[in-house]
Amino acid sequence: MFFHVTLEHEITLHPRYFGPNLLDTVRRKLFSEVEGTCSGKHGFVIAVTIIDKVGVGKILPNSGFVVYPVRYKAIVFKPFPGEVVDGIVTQLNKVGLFVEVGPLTCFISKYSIPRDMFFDPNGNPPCFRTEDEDMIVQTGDEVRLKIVGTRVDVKDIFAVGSLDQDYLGKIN
Amino acid sequence: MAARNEGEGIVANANGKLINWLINTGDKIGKGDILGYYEIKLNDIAQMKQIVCDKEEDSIIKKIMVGQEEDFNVGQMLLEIHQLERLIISSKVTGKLTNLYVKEGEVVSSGQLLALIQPSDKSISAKYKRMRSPSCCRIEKILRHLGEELPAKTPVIQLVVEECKHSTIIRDMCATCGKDLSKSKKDVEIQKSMVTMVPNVPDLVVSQDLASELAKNDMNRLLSSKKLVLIVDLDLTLIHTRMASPDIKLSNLTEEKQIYYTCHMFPGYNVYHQYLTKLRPHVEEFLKVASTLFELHVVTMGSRSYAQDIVGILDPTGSLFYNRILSRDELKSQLLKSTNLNQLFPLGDNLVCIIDDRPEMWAFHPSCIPVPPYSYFANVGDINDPKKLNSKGLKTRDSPDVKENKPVDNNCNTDVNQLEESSPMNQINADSNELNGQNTTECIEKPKITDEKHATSTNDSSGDSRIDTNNNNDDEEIATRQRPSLWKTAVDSDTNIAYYDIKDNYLLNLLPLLRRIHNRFYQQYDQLKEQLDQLPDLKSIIPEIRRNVLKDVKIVFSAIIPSGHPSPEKTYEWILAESLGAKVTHKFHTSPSRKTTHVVTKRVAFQSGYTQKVHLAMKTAGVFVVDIDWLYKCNEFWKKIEEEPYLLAPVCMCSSTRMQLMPKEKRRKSLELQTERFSKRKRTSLDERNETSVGLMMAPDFGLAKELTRRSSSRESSLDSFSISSSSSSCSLSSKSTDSSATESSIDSECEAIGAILEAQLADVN
Repeated sequence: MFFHVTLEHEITLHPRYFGPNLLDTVRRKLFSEVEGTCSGKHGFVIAVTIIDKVGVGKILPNSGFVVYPVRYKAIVFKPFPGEVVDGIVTQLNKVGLFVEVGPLTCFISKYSIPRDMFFDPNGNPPCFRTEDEDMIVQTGDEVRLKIVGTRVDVKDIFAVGSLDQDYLGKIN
Repeated sequence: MAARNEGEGIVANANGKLINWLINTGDKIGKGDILGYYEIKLNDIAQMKQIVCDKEEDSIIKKIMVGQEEDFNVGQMLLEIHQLERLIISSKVTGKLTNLYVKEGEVVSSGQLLALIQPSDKSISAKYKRMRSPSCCRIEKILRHLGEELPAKTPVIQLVVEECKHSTIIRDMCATCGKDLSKSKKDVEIQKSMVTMVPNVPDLVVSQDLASELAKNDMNRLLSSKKLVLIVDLDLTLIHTRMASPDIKLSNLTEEKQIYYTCHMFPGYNVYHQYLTKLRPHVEEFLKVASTLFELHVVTMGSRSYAQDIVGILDPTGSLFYNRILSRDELKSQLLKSTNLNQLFPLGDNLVCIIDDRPEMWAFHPSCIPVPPYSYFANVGDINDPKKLNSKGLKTRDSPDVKENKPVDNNCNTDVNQLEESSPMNQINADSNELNGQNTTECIEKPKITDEKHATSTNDSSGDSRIDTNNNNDDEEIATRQRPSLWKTAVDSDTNIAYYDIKDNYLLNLLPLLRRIHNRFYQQYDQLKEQLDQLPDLKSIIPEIRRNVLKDVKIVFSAIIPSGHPSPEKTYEWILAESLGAKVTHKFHTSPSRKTTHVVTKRVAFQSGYTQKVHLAMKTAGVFVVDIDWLYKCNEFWKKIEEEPYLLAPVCMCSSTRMQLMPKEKRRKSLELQTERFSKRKRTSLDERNETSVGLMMAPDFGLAKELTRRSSSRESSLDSFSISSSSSSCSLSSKSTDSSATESSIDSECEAIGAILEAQLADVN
């Protein structure tokens, strides 16, 4: 699920950036340091939308670096069990398939794939398919899946999903 | 209705014969489900009937008691079942059902949110009361509607417990139900018995049952497509890799050179390691053909990123290997690859064939075909040498200082080799007409020392310990395995890469062998399938093919095993010869029943003077006196190599008395034939020499030069030394030079000498 949340981050800046473009540098540095990261609490930070406030910079003793506390709003993505998402199949094996839902990697076990589909390692490329080849899922295909469980670590989120329900599966 | 239900099972109510089941263990059955079909005989007419479940409650099949095509009697239990456990979720407080997150029939995991209730009692601080699923369940029935006002303790949702077996676990989480399995002790115990199924995702583990089920599917698929499994090694088997160094001009690497550049960062080191990889000649062709007969797997001592990059070069489309890569990162043991076989093939390694330049890594697995190591870059060993990795700690190999040490190490090796082996050769080439006694003794003594060392080091590796982490042995092993000093090195002017200028066709020679193994397996498979339901085993087929290589050959070693060796049967050469099917004896036998056919000795030892065995061999008809390289070559190519290039002494065609008794005409014919063969060879000898493969060039051949000088300087004495003058014409057999460095002029002089002998013989006969 996507959220628009207010987050805080501290930017450390080298004194050589002090000048007319100082705030611009802070903004650029924020984007590069924050976007694409993941925290267990908020999920994946997709994009910074608004910078609410760049606080007063504090010069660190001894080094001369400056720390700016920045408050910003960002779109974050946090997966929840039961959520239905779309993803791209990245890898298949006999135990199941891996799907990338944006920054999130999701594994779908073969037990969560419709029973009439099976892994065909001889296919070129290898795929999951039905007997009559009516439905073929291979690397690069888009699938709609339901998240069954998530594992949330401090810096990473991993999910397992299912294709074995109505309206789930390959998106044509 | 054929079956009625009774207690914990479905029981037959008539005599009959089961045709088939439609259900499996673990399936859920309800009232009215058709479980299978059976046959009943009424007045000698067979009738097919259905077995229908009439149990009111839903149940799960625990065990199938009667198999297909089996008879059963009235009252016999057909299926063992157990009823489903039901749970009812009730509201804890009086309130309004505001949210329902699930539908009937849906499967929910433990702790999943099912519904929300808004308490009507304002004194409760919480805005909502959550209703969660206590375990893995299926929603059977939702008893209340959304928005209804519920008194406390009203049943809201009826659940059926469907215990998940957690057969697939990824990162401590069940891949089917999503339950976190790192919390409870019981679940952690479950995980311990699980195995990795997909090597490139070590986090993904499956239960033993599922693993064997998947393996069985794999095996059936292989058998139905008439394929086997071939495990290939990368370093020194299919490729040769070195570190890139600053003096190499990378920009000049072109496609024709088939040298590829890869770059890796190892975890923990912020330095990129740059590698240059040369593919073994014909590797693409080899893999393409092999993939039609085998499913290819890679098992390598390289790290995962390295292995994946190399496979990407070998197989850009991913059609040959497709993720079937096992790298050092996943290996259980840092010294053995065989410990992971069980995990790759839980049902046994009957279909597995292995090619590796280090059979010791597979604990000398019977299905392992040893491959001569491929060396392209001069003075560079195996960058993923397991012994090196281990002796210097597990991770240190990645640090740059170790890497830089390595080429230096090898340089030392080659220098020593050059001193020991090639210097006598140069001396002989320099003054081939004159050779004083001092030189001779020198050039014999030195190699002898290395021989002994060689014997002991090989003994070690074939002995009980099998793996020696001793550094001294390690260096020696590189020397004996690769013998780089005798290969011609060249430097590519564009890229500044020093390489061995050798031709290597080994992979092409390997294909017929693999084809033979494949054919033999499926021949046996078809035979066994008809008789019993058994599977042939490559572990017995491959050694059997190997034992046929030197069938009917009876070997005596001379000057190979140090005299007074406590158990000559355990030396490397002895075991090697016996594994190839040769019969090895201690003494030279002349009796027809167990007549020795080959005396295997060393060229250097042969030069220093004949041993008793060699002497006997030269007197006895049809006995080959060959260099030990002949045996190594047979081992390498898995076929009986022609003895000619390795002959040290002429083969006695027949005993001297018999030769004289031969009719004159016959003698002349045989001599003429030999003369003709000899002159032919003289023409082609040079071309042939270039064609001969790597191994031939490994052999130091200064012995030949010496033999030659003796022969050309005094023909009489040379004839004497061979003791049987009538057969000395077959000297020519040994004239085929295997030494690429022998000068052309020396060959010419040799040819003249032998030609003269033959002509003299002919004149004599005439």
